[in-house]
Amino acid sequence: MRRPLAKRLVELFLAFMRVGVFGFGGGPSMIPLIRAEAVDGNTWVEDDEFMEIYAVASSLPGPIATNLAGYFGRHQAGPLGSAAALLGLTLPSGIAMVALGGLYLATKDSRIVQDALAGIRPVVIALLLGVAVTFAPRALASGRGALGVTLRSLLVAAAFAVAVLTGVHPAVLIVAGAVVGLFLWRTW
Amino acid sequence: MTDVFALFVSFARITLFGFGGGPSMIPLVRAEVVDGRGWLTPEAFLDAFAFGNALPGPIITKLAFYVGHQVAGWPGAAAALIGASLPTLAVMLLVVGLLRRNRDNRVLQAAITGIRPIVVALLLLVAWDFAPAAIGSPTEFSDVWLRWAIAAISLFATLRLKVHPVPLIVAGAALGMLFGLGS
Repeated sequence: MRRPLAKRLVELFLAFMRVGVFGFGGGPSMIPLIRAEAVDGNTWVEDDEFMEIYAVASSLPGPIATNLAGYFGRHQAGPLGSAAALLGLTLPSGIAMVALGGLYLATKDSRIVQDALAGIRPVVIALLLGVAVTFAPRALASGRGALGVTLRSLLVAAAFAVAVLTGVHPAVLIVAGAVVGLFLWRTW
Repeated sequence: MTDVFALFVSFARITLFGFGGGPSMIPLVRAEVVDGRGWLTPEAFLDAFAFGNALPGPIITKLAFYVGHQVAGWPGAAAALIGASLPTLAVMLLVVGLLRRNRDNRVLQAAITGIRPIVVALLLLVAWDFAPAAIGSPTEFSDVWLRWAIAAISLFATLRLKVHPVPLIVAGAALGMLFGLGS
């Protein structure tokens, strides 16, 4: 029994407005915010599905936040939902860019702004780690017990190391993970 | 009117070829907006970028709005925003649609079990890339301690206390201003 379209659109708009208003620090900061809206707050999806969508969004071109907003919008309320989500996400900061543009020379070097951003950044790191830890049980759990968990943990570590050392694109890592999954965990 | 269409095309090009998230698309934005179309001078672009970084939200859409408005008013802003978000969204929906339709495919399920650990790694990677800006190069030694403390407390708050990200971000901003972390 779906709730009325209007309610869903408003919910999407407000949810992504929260993301767009508090997402300081670009893409990285918006991922935990989007997860908080999609999984915890509005329960649109479970973490399992969120992880898959995040994997796809990380592999494809385009800003991750708009891809996620557009996806969840569509998922909840069709094309109108996508529009509502995207507008909520982009309008506040977009309008601020235009409206405050004349003041930007004053604001960009403002100590208050730099201070606030410097305080926000450690929070964003913690939020990202928090999401990683929340995903970890789903990512590492295995019906094969300790061996499965160990193998999966090694995969996490290997992927991280390769990415840090080579700067390879996430899509390559995703594909590599899929291949490993095919070879090691073929379903019976 | 051709300006409006050009804005759509330019920002669609930027996002469709922009693999790897916001920051990696910035050179593409510069190439299109400054070098290619001459919509902004290099200085104006740098200023817009710096200001854009002080605001929340996706950098690409902020720049799209700003450049679009500069060039062709609100219709321009709309065209740039649509160009920046819709084409890549279409690709995303297509791919996810394909995955959803093949949900029951056992090969796909096996692949997904391998992808989940990668997702965890990607998040750690994002945090790792972000860390120097967040924790590194303080002006005083005490700053490092405080940044680590903010991170640690936030981690505890989000994992154990299930605090929503927004209050934590607000608290971080407040602490940053209180202790002058950025100056």
